[in-house]
Amino acid sequence: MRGRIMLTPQDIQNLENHQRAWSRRTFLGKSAQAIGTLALGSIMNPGLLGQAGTWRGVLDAPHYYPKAKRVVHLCMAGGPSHVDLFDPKPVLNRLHGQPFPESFTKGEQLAQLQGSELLARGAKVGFRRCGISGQMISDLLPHTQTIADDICIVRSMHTEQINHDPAHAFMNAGSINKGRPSMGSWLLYGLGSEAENLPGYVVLVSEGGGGAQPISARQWSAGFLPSKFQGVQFQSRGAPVHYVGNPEGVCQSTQRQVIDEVARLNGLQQERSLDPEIETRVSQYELAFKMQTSVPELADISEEPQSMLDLYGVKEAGDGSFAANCLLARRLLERGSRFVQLYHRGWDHHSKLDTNIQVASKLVDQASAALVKDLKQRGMLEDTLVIWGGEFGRTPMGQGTGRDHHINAFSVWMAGGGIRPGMTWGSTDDLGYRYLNDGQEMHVHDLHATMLACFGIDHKKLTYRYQGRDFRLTDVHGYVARGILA
Amino acid sequence: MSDLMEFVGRLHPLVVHVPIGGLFLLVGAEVAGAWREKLKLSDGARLVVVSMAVAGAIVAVGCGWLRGENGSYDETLLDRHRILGFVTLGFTVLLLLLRRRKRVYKFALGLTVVALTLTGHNGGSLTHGRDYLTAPLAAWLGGESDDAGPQALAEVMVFEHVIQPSLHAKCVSCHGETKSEGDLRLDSFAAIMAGGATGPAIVVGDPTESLLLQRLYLPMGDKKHMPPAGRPQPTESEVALWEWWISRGAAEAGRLVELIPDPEILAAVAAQLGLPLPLEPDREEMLAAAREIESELGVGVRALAVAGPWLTVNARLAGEAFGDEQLKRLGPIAGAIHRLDMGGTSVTDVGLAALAEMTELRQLRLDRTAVSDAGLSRFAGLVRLESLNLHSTAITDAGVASLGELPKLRRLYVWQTAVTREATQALAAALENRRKLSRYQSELRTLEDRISAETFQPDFGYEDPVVIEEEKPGDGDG
Repeated sequence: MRGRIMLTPQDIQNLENHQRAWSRRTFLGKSAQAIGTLALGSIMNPGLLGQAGTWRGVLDAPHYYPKAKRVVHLCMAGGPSHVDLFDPKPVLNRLHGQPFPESFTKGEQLAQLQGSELLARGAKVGFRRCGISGQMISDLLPHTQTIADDICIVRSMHTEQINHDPAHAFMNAGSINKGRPSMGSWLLYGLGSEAENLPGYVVLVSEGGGGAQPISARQWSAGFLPSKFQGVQFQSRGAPVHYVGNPEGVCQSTQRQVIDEVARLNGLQQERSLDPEIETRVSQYELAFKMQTSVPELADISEEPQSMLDLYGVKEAGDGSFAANCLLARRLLERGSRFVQLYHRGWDHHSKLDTNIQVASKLVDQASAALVKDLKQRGMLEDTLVIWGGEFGRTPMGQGTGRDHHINAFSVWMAGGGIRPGMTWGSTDDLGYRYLNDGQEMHVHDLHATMLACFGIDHKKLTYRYQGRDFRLTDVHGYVARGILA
Repeated sequence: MSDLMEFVGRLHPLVVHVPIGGLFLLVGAEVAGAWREKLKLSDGARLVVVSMAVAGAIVAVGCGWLRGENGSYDETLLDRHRILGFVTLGFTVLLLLLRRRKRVYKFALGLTVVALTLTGHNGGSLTHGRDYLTAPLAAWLGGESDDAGPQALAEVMVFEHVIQPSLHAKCVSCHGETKSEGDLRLDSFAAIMAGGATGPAIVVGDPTESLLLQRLYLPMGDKKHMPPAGRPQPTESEVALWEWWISRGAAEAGRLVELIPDPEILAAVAAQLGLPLPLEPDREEMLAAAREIESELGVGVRALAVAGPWLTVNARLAGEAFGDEQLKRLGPIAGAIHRLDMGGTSVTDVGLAALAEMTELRQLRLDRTAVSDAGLSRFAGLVRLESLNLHSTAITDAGVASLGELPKLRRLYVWQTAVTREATQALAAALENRRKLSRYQSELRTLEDRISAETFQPDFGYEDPVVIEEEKPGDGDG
């Protein structure tokens, strides 16, 4: 039997549909759209659809034995200062207030500091060796200090984009070009989601901290992938999803009938024109129907004991705080979501750094640490990858009372999901200006490659053919940082 | 000079065939002469043949004596061979003297041939080992031998079934009981450990430091290369197995599966013993069964990687609908499950009996279930279990204590249970002790083997120094 392709009538019909759509589109000259359907062979293959029609992922199985099953990305939008939080620089502190050595900055790209006098700015708050691993973490993050032995601090991060929007695009999709899928979309495309009643890719945007950074839905876009792989943004204040209840007079069975009828009509349309967006629409209707019960259950944190709320520092459920979102993120991860992204938007400290960084740290520190601890005690840290960090860092040079954007070095930390705990990876020069080429440098592409490696995915093999060539999250770059894999 | 002696000595197997040929020619001619008058041997011809046999026998005895002085042979066999050799020579000389006295001559010729045959067989035994000639005959007569050997890889003992047979086939003819070149014998574990004149044959744990392999690694042209050029050489996979065995502690006792061999090693062993490789379930079969189970039970079953049959099962998806009955239905894929998540399901202690088949299980999640201490007693067979999640269950310290039998356990989650810190610390200590104990036990076994391998050697002081000899290649024929 093996080695021969057995076609069922269903397969043949799919093939005919495919060919019909192809020839008509070619005839009509809608070539750009038609190329998008090239990949449909795999998208529409019913073999890839699981039990309830859920997407099982384009990969039959991971390339290697996987460690991670889920990611929670705690995105510190604005760019936290690495020299104040995770990368202590005694030399910089000594130079505080003096001119920044020109040898470092000559000919370098600067954001808002262009043309101004560059003065070194040391860290105001001290650092401390933490845990058995002895990692250096600022006293600004007392709770993060308690999980030092569970996290891997990467000090050699660097990126290519010096302004927020492109830098976020770069961090999420590995490119600033529009239409490139975000990392969460790639993961959903590759592996599918285990959550049958909730979106596999959820975005939560937190409030509080002032100076909210603008972020855009482009950051969780599916790009050229079918849009069912895009991130779904939940409301952070009040109910996560609006209008999930039925209108007055509509019962659940009526609702079911409506959904079924819409699906039937969409199916008719799909027989005539093969458009992946119809497929997306059908699955979104189905998911939305399931979410009518699953979302209220998800958001109902009355079953969480007070001690759990205290651990995260949640004052009130659904208050839009980072803490409440961390708790919600854990509940999403428990229910099988593949990728949860949390944004905190208070990290763009061009001025009043000393007070602002305290405010921002206070808002995220406890809940971030609590999330790691909570995942750990539930045994979920084994297969949940936690990534904490911004889209870039901040200059070791002062900008008035703050710091400017900085792309040559910044710090992130990762935990769980196959990342070796209690270690620091990579380093920067004496002033925290640039990552060192010591074999431990970590470009954003390298971060992506390493993240995929935790899932057992070879970043060079997860591709999608679009506009005539195979695209991947790391494009033509990326090295896996094997040294931080457990 | 001694090299010349050595050379002359090695001519023995060649020269012995001169008297053998002469004597058998004589027998043939005499028998033919008794049958037909015209075939009768003339006196002159008889004199020539008998003289040749005598001359050959004298040279052969001389060469043989030198060979016996220089080679390392079994003393009793060698003595017997020498006596028989002289007896044969004596009879041959007697033939020369008595060739005219018909009746005595015929009788003497018969005796000479008997002595010659005995001597020849004895010489063969010296070179090839005692049972060289008779072993195949015995096997043929006896049909299948009583000891059928291992029937499956799970039964294979590394030294007994893998290492020893290949050493026997490739080394023991020169390094055995009857002939032990360089005072080295490789026909028993104790002898291997004791080593030879140049030192121990193997260094436990270090293949590259082991003389046995160092000699093998030498280029074929090197005169110290073993086995000598022209002798059957061990195959690549045999060498790989020897290396692996030495690097894994070179123990005499020990099952193959206990050493958790790499797939290549397993394949090599299976090929050598002609056994099937049944250790891995078939991927396609498992995936087909998995599809069926998925649709039947509403659980998620996925392959862990593109290669290998290993599966991860997510029963959490089915929630309370997944219970003891459903767990039993995982039977067809039980041997392929690496990770099993039954968190929040309705499995009970009784149902966990089904875990006995899941010998490959690495990660098991039973959090928020009705499992209690009684269920943990079912875990005894999970020798590969590394991670066990029991948070929010009814387990107690007593249950945790019973987990000390899981050799690979590294992570245990007992959040929101009655388990105390003392109990988990005791478990950690017990597991560590267990690992230490098994390490010590294997070291102890090695030491005991070495002690038993030490033979009694009286010390005569400096007058009898240890002679470090070069290895001598054995005979090429004979």
